[in-house]
Amino acid sequence: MSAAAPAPEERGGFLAQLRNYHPDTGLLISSIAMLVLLITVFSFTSERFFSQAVVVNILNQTSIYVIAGVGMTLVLTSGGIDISIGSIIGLTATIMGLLMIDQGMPAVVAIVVALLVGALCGAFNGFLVAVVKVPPIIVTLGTLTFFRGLAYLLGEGRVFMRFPDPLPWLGDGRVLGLPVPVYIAALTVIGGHFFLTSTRMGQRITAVGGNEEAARLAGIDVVRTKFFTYVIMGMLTGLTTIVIVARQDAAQAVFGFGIELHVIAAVILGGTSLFGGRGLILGTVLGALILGVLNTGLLLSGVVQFWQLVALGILLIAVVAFRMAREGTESR
Amino acid sequence: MQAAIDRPQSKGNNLADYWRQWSGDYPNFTSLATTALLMIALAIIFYAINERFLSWRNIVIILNQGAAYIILGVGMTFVITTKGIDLSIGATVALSGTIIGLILVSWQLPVILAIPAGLAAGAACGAFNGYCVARFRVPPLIVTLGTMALFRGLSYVVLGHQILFGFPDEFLWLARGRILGIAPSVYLAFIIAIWGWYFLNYTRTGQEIIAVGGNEEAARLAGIDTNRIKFITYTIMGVLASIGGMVWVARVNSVQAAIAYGVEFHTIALVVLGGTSLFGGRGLVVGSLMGALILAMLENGLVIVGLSSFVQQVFLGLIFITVVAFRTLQFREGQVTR
Repeated sequence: MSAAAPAPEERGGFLAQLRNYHPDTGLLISSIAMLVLLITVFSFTSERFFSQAVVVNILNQTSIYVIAGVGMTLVLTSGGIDISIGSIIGLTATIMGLLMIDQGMPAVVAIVVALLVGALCGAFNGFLVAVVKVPPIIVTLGTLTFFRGLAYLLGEGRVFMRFPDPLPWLGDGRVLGLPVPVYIAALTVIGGHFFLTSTRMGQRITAVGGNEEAARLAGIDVVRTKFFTYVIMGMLTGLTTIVIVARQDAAQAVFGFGIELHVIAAVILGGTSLFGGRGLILGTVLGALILGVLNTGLLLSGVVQFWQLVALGILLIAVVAFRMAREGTESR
Repeated sequence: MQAAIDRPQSKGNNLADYWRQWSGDYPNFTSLATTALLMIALAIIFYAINERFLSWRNIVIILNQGAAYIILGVGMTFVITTKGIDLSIGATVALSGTIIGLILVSWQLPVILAIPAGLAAGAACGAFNGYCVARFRVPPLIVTLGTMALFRGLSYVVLGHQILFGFPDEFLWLARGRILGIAPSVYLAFIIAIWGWYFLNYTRTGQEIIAVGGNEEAARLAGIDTNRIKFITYTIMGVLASIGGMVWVARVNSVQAAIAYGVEFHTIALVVLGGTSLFGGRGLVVGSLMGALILAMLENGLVIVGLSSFVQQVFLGLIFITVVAFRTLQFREGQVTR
C-alpha cells in the first residue's frame, strides 16, 4: 500500500504489473490484509475460532451480506444509495409467510413472488430516483418507513413459523459439506461480477456513476440505467429474504431491521467508491467476510453483543477516512 | 414539451402565469405559503372529522409533542442548508438521554449537573461528526451512518435493555409544568426557532452556512473557512439534539437505549416539508417550524381518527415521499424558469 506511485509500464514488481492489469488491486489487497489481520487477532482471543461450526456460521452470515451487497455495489457504483433494503426484507418475508403458511402455496410460488415483490419495491425506489430525480438517500429514507409500515400492516405482528419442506433446505441444507446459502451467494457474486465488468448494462452503470453528464452526452439512457439498477437491488433483496426466511424457518415483519448499515459497510469496506463510478463486487465479498469475522469473533471473545455496533461504526468511519486521505493525495 | 419551452415568454395572461412569475421572484415566500396552506388544510380536515382536534386541550398536546421536533428541526435545517445530512441525531438523543438518566436516576445527583452533562454529550457527538466531515472529508451520509451505530451502540453498552424512569420533578417540569397553560418546553422550542431564524439569516456565520451549501468552492474562494463552518454546524446540531432529547425524556419520563429510534427520518422529513432545499444553500427555519407542527398534528390527528400506528407509518412514509417529489419537481421547474 505504501507504493502508491504508479509503476512504469515495462518494469516494476509483480504488484505493479498486477496494478497495471487491474487498477483496483491495491484496494483488494488492503481488504485482504484487513481480513487476515482480524482472523489473526481472533485466533488468539478465542480458541474455538477455527472449529467447523464457527466457520460455517461465519460463511452463512456472510452469504446474506454478500447477496444484498452485490446489489448495493451496483447501486453505489451508479452514484446512488439504498437504505430501504431492510424494510423490503421485512415486507417480502411477511408476504412469503402469508403465502406459504396461510394460503398453503408451494415454495416455488413464494420464491417467485418474493423476487417479484423485491423487484417492485426496487422499481418504486428507481422510479422516484431516476424519473422524479429525488436524491436517493431521501427516497429510500421515505420508503424505509413506508415498506416497513406495509410489512407491519400485512403481518399484524405475527410470527410465521414451520415452513413446508423445500424452503428450509435452502437455509440449512448442505451440498458437499457447505451450506446452500454459500452456493447462492457464490452464484450471485459470479453473476454480479460478470454483469458489472463485461456487459453493456454494467458498463453503463459505471459510466453513469462516474460522470452522469458525460454518460448522457455519450448517448446512455441515464434514467433507464438508474431505474434498472434499483430494480436489480430490489430483486437481490428478495433473494436475500428467501435465504433469511429459509435459515430462520420463520418470517416476521421486523426481519432485516438495520441490515442496510451492515450491507453498506461491507460494500464500502470492500473498496467500492461512495461517489459512484467504481464498483468492486469481489471487494464486497471481502468486506462481507470482514464483517462476518468481526461479528463472530467479538461474540466468541466474550465481548458484550452491543460492542459490535460500536466496532462497526468506528471501523466504517476509519476505513472511509483513510481511503479519502489516500485518494486525496493520489489525485493531486 | 412545447409548453415548457413557451412558458418563460408568456406575460402572465392568467392566474397560473402570475403565480409562476411570483414564485420565481419570491421562492421563500412561496414555499412558506404552501407549507402554511398545508397546515391549515390539515387542521380543517381533522377538525371536520373530530371537533376535539382544535380544542385548547388538544392544541396544548400537539404543541407539547411538536416541541422536540421543532428543536431537532432547527438543527437539521442548518445541516441540510450546508448540503449535509445527519442520520445520527436519534442516537445522539439516546446517548445524551442515557447520560442524563444515569446522573438523575442512577446516581440521584441534582438537575444542575445533569443538564450541562447532557449538553456536553450532545456537543461532543456533534463535534465528532463535524470533525470527520470537515477534516477527513468523509461524506456526511457515511459519517453519520457510522456514528448512528456508534452512539446507539454506546447507549446500549451502558444501559443494556434496562429502562430508567422516575426522574425528579424539577426535570419533568420542562415538559409537564405549565406557564400560562403551555409547557415550558414549547416556549423553549419557539425561542430556539426564533434564534435559529435570526442566526441563519442575520448573522455572519449563518450567511456563511448558506454560502457553503450553495457553492462550496465559491465560498472557499471568497475566503470562508468552510471546514470551520461545517464543524460549527454539526456541533450546533449535536447540542440541539441533546436539548431535544431532554424535552423528549422529560415528556415520557423514562430513558432507554432504543429511545428516539428513527427520529432522524421524521426530522429530515419535516425540514424538507418546510421548504429547505435538499441541494443546499437555502434554509427556511420558519418552514421547519411549521413542518414540525404539521408532523405533530398528523401524529395526533391520525390517532384521534383512530388509525393504528402501522397505518400511521405507511401514511407518514407516503406523505413524505409525495412532498419531497413535489418539492424536487418545483425546484427543477424553478431552474428551468430562470
